[in-house]
Amino acid sequence: MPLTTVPRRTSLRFRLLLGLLAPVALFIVINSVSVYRQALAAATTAYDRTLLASAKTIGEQLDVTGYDEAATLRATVPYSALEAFEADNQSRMYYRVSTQRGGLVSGFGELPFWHGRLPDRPPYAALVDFYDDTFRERPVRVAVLLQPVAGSEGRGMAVVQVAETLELRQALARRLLVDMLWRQLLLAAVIAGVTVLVVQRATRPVRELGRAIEARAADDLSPIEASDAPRELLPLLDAMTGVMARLQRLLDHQKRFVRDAAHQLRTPLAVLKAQVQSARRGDLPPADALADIGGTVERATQLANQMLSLAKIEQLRQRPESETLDLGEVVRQVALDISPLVADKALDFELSAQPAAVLAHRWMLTELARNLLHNAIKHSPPGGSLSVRVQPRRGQAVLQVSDAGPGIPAELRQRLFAPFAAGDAARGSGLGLAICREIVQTLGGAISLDNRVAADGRIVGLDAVVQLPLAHAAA
Amino acid sequence: MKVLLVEDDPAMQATLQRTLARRQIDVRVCGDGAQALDQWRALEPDVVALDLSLPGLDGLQVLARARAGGMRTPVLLLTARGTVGDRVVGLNAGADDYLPKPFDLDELEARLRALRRRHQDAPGAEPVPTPMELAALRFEPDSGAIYLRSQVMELTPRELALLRALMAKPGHAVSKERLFELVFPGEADVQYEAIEVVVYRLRKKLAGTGAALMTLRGLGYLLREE
Repeated sequence: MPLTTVPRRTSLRFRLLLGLLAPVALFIVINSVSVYRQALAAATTAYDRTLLASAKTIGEQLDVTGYDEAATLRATVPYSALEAFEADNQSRMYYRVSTQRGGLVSGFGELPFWHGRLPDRPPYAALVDFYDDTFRERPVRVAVLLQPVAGSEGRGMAVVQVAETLELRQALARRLLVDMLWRQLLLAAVIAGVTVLVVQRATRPVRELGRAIEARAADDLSPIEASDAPRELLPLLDAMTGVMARLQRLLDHQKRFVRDAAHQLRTPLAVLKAQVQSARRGDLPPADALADIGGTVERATQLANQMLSLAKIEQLRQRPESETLDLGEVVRQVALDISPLVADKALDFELSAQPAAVLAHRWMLTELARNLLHNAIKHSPPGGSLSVRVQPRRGQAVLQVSDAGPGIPAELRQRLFAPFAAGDAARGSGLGLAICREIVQTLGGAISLDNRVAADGRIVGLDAVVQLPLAHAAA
Repeated sequence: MKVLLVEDDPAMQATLQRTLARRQIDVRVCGDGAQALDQWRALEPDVVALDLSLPGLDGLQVLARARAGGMRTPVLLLTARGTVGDRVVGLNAGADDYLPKPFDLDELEARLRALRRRHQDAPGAEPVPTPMELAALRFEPDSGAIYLRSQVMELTPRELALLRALMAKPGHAVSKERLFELVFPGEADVQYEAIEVVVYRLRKKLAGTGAALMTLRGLGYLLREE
């Protein structure tokens, strides 16, 4: 037998957690990125303002001699002028004052001169722009201010650049981000906790139910009592109750059958024992004794075979696949098979089989027809008439087997179909009709056995009638 | 003829060995599935009779291993299980025939011999027809004639065909359709009832032979001893 892979079982808790936390985590990531960007932008705007202020401070300390093109700028900015703007010890500020053409007037010559254009609509009234650059291999934010300088001795335009390293801005943005991440993490933790708790609570009835079923006695197949089970569990409970009921029926059936079968098997064994003892004592010639023993063995064999047939019906009942068969054809085949028995009794046989489609296992129909025909032949007097008819009638396939036997005594009618009920033990296993009834029930049909009574009230035979639903021809 | 019987019941072993030996069949027994393959290889039997329920290795496993090992000896499965799929499973696993327990000794012997014959004949060869007898009638396959005691019966070809078909299954009914095909082969324009005429004539010729032609109305005909 091929090994089947065991499917991996995920718990409800795991699925819910995954289902809830995965989107939340995604949301947190997206949110963090966007918040970090916004924080950085806000920090940039705020610190740009400071940068502008520092540039203006420098611009105000400029002197000029000469006019316009000939103007010579002079700066009296001390290197410490910017210290006031270095809000903490994290970031450094550098400045450069240049002429409009880029000639260094004062400050850090390493700071590259600004070559840009002023934006058309600057955010401030002053002629200012902000841009990112690098200074001493560190990223810096630079404010550039075009500062008109006028004095008693001249007038000109100065370019003031103030650069600031980014530590402060980044630190601020990072602090905002970390704060936010903590809050989001807390949220995720709360969601996870609540999910686990809720799932735990919601699945408690399932676990309790499981424990209750587990704790049952092995043979307790009564319906499951769980009045407090949530509504979602009801289909499961109903299904389980249904399964239990089916199992109970099956179990009852089998218990009864095993009990009956054991009794029935003892009968031929007892006979056999007696026959063997009798033969040993020399009560009768060996050949006769062996013939008797052979007959008993035959009976026991038939009994065992029929018990197997009953078991087989049960087995087939669990496997509903069947085919559309012509009952007439099946009966014809069975009649051919058992024709030697008909010949032995020289019966006046007649078969009239019209096509009648039935949905069934072939074995079941064959077994049904064989049992009915066997019974009829068994009870027929030599030379008696035996008529077998198959015809469709009112949505039913009707099989009628009529013999000229003694019929059924009234006292037997009630329990005719029960296992081991029929007739005298010497003539049959008593399972034939039980098999027929089981098959007919499985196929959703009906079976009846009625004495045929002549005008003078004499029983002249038996009619066995089986009705099975006609299969509608497949379109 | 040598048969390996793989069967764990000692009573069954002894009985089969004894009775088949009297019929010139040399039966070697093996009671354990695990040893069956070794014995099978060592003995080179003509036929293996294999019980399905065995200690050690069950019959189907023994069969599967033997077939996988290239051993082509014909196998007759014996089983008391007899459930729905057993027969199919057994034949699919490479068994050549199947006999449910309890079985008839004559039946067992016939099946064993048939398996050996089938295996020795070239595949697809026609089985050798055997003379058939019923009451005082005898069918000789060599001449194709039917004798009543020592006299050849005077029969028309259609009557001969009908009688041969019925003698092939003495005591068993043969359906009218089948008989029609045999008696009027390929003759589509013949009335179906024509078979009854042939039956009527044949029945008259059979009078006093001890064989009787019986009609099962709606089914067919059979030949039986009176």
